[in-house]
Amino acid sequence: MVLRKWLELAIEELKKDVNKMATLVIKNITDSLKAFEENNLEEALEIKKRDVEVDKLEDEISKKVLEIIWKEQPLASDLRLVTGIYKLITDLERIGDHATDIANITIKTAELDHQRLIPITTQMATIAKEMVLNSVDAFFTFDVSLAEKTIKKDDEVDALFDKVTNLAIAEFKEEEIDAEFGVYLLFVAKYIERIADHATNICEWLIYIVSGKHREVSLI
Amino acid sequence: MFKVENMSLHYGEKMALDNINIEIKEKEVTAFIGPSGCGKSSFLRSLNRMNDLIEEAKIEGIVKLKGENIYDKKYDVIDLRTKVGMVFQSPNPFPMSIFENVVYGPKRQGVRNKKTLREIAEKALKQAALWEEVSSRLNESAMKLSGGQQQRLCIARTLAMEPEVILMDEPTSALDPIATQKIEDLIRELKNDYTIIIVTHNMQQAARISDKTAFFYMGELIEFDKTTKIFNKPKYDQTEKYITGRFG
Amino acid sequence: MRKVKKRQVIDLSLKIITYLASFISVIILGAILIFVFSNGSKLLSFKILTTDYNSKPYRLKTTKDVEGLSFTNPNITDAYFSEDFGFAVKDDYTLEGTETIRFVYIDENSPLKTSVNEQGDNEPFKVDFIFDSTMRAVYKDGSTTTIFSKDGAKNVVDTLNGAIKIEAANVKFEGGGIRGSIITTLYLIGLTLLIGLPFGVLTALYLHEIAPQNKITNLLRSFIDMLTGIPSIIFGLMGAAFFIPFTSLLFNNPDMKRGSVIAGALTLVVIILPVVIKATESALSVVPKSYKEGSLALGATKTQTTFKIMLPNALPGILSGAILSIGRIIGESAALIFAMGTFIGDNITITGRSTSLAVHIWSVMGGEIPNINLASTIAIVILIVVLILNISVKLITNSFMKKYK
Repeated sequence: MVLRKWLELAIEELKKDVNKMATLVIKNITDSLKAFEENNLEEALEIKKRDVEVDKLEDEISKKVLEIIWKEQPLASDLRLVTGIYKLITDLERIGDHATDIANITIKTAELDHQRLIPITTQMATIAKEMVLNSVDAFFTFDVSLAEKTIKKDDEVDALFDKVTNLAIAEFKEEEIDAEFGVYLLFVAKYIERIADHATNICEWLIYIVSGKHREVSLI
Repeated sequence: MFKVENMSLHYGEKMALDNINIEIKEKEVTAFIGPSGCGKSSFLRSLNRMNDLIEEAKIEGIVKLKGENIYDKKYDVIDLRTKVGMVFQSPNPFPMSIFENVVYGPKRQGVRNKKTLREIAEKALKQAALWEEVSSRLNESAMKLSGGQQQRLCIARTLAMEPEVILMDEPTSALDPIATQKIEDLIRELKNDYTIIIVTHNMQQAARISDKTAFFYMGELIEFDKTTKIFNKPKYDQTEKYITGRFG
Repeated sequence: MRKVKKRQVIDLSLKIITYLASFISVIILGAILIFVFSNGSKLLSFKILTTDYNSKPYRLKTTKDVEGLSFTNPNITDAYFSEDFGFAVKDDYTLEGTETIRFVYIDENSPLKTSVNEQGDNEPFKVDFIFDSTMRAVYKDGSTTTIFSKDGAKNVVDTLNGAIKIEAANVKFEGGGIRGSIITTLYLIGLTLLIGLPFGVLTALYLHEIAPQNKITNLLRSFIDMLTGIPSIIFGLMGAAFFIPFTSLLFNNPDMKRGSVIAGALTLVVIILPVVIKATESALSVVPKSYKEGSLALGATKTQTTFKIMLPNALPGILSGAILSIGRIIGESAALIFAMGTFIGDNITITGRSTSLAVHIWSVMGGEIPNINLASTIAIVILIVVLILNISVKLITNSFMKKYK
């Protein structure tokens, strides 16, 4: 007989929901970057629709977490898992928002003539996307070392963002690029950098779930 | 307050406790948790030598209270029990008046002065958060009180002896939630002045009121640590499994 | 459906059987009570309860002559009044039911109050003296007439008319009362409980609280249990063989060799000891263990716990043991016949001989003419005594319970 059957079932359900949310978010990231490059308005609108679902999922998962807490009074690893999920879906939802932000820029710059991600930005995007994928993987496999590696990758993304910023400033000064395009490109880069940050957070929550220690909050 | 070294307890052939080593600090609440039959109650009763009542019980090892081994032949058991009081699972007030119950202990120690006894009773009942409910009817039978009140009376009875340690063996398991709450609040107050050791089946209770928690399993002390550690990230898998309810 | 029918039939038959059995039991018990009461109530009176058994015969003569004083007639129904001597007599029955003449009134100034016995000691006539023999009337001229009781009360008064004194009056202070036996029974109850209860309770305390619970203790317990089954006549033999010589030696009184109240009490102590021990142990085992634990946990010693917690809570059981014992004591006859003798005494002392009510019954039934009426009367008295004692013990128990609970 499995003890705490209902708790286990509730946790399984939570994990499925997180999986669903993560899948949608990752798809949105991929598609938003593609849509930006291809200037694909329809795609952008689809992304926005999907984000509504992501938000709904965050709501549902939050509610389910609270229900588990008052009903099952989880302790120790159960408690860490459940509160960890509660925190990381915020970051996941933010990632989804930033993907939507990129989609919005695609919509805004539909008339503009331009769009492309310059190589640095593309590099950032690749790493950021990988970080998101890894953070989600690490969560489902409880892989602490993968999480730690992913956290380190954030430095790369930050460095690349500095580079883009400096490049943009330089080119603005030289009046070598179209201001509107430049600004929006910077925005996109920023959003990518933020996505990477949030992926880092997800990894930190995973480490908290497994070890009880978090960068900001330590329970033990 | 207590220092236990290599302590084992046998009931005849059967081993109840095996090689227990633990130090219990004063003016803290220490909780003993573990599945039924794991020995936590037996261990609790060893601390005030209530196990002496069981003929087949044999203790090995050392149990020191403030540096003195309480199982030493020269140690006065009666004196021990005035220093280490006990509250039981089912409230067990004597079939006497409320007042007589509270002063039972002091009277047996020879206190006769009526004024002194009244003062002792008032102090103890106030400490047990029962004074207001019974001050006007001290001569009524204790059996008329509700379960929760009876348990607080038993606590007052113990407090009247001015012990240093209060042992509690599942003190709220027979009470309703409100009575339980009152007693938990009381315990959290009392720990400022007394060392409290409580055996409980209720995990949440242990989490709420204790500073340190000891997990017993099959007669062994598996883990003993700060309560925050035990309930958030216990060191041992067995502790984790018990706390998360993955085994009874 | 057949199963239901069968069950109903069985139920009904069982019901009928139980009703029948109860009915018969009640009838039998009722019949016994009716028998006792109908036979005994005739003789039941305050007098019989307060009068000695042994009658005291006197042979009296008046010392003051009739002086011509005229005494007032108190006009007692059915009585005949002697104006010269100032007394009234009537035809009556003794307590035991035989015909006699009874003095029902004697004036203070009557010459009868000046009578002396054969030794010359003052022995005035008293009310309730009976006259079932002869007396002599002496007249002024010195002539005498013998008065016979069988001639009736009127004859006594008529014959004494004109006489100046009475001589050789064979009168009796009638006995036949059971006062002595009632007092003896009460003495027995008191002494036996006084000695037996402490011994029994303390033994039970030892067995239950102090003795190690092993095979030997259990054997002891079984032995005590067995004692309750021994016919009490054997205890009587023991009483005769041991307690009689023992008490006779103890009190240094050779008269006690034929039995004494104290020897009887000691024999009864042995009989009730197992009863008290069992009842006490039973009561002790019902005291919740938690009380004991609570007391010890507060730093009380084992002795304090025993006497402040265990005993008071065992009191109802102990008192019920006392009630059972009282029943045994009152009902005991064979054992007391051997240990105390069958002489029905009037002056009751611990070292003297007398009978309990039960033995008194044995005595009146064992004579040549069994007196069933008197026996039934004594039985009624026994029932009343038992009833009163049981109620008192219950009341005491209740007041104790109220005090503690």
